[in-house]
Amino acid sequence: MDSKTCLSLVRDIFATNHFVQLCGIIIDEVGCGTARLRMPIIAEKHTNLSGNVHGGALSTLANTAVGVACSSAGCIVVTQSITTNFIRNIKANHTATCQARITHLGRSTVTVTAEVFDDQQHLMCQTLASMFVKGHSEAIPAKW
Amino acid sequence: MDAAACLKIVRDIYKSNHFVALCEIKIDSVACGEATLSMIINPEKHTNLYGVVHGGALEALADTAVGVASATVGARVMTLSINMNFIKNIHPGEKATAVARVRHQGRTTIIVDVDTWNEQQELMGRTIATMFVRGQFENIPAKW
Repeated sequence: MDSKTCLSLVRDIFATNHFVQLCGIIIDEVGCGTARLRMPIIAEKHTNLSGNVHGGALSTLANTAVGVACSSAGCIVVTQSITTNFIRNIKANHTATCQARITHLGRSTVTVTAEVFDDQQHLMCQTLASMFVKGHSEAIPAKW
Repeated sequence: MDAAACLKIVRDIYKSNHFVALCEIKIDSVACGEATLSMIINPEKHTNLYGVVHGGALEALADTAVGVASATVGARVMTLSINMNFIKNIHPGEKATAVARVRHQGRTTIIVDVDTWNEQQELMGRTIATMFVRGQFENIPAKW
């Protein structure tokens, strides 16, 4: 399996994910156990009362990136627990990019870290998630 | 200040919150330091690939409930850190209700916890958040 094939498979899996579509999240790149996603910030969609991105939108980006990273290692997962630390925020017409990486790939749990960056590569938030393994994908191997 | 007056002010504040509107989150009731919010699951909006609610949508509900609970004590806040444990999930058409309570009200930080329930009053998620106090809402007192 190469990155391109995996990316196409993962994009297919996430195409039916309504909340991901609603938030305008795009999967840019996958490696084995890693994923890079982006979310262009739209004023009418993602912002809160201060005109910055709503924490829930950034949490969604991070949570989705964690799921994609697990998919890239052939795991079908659900979130058990997720923690996000918010450091910096952005306004509309900028893009938030999230890089997720599996730190532990177990039989029943996967732990993943994700970092969200702004256009200038400033760290916006840091996420640590513990995912429960529901099953394994037949199309994507655990190692490639 | 009574609950009805506070509810009206808080609903006005959240009117201009695009992400909250996008997620169809409603503020049901407030008390001093408490807020109950709900979100009816829309199959075209909130679901993930399994047809249940995306974790990010439930986080958005919880994160918003935290903000509203903080507003009921007159605090204008932003999320510093949020942790959510997912216990149960629901299907489209059902309603998720988040009940947030301010546990510590400091000068610079507020700690809030949130229980998210399904319609059968079963616990769906447990959240704890640390909020940074950016300022005050002049029309809502800290105690009432």
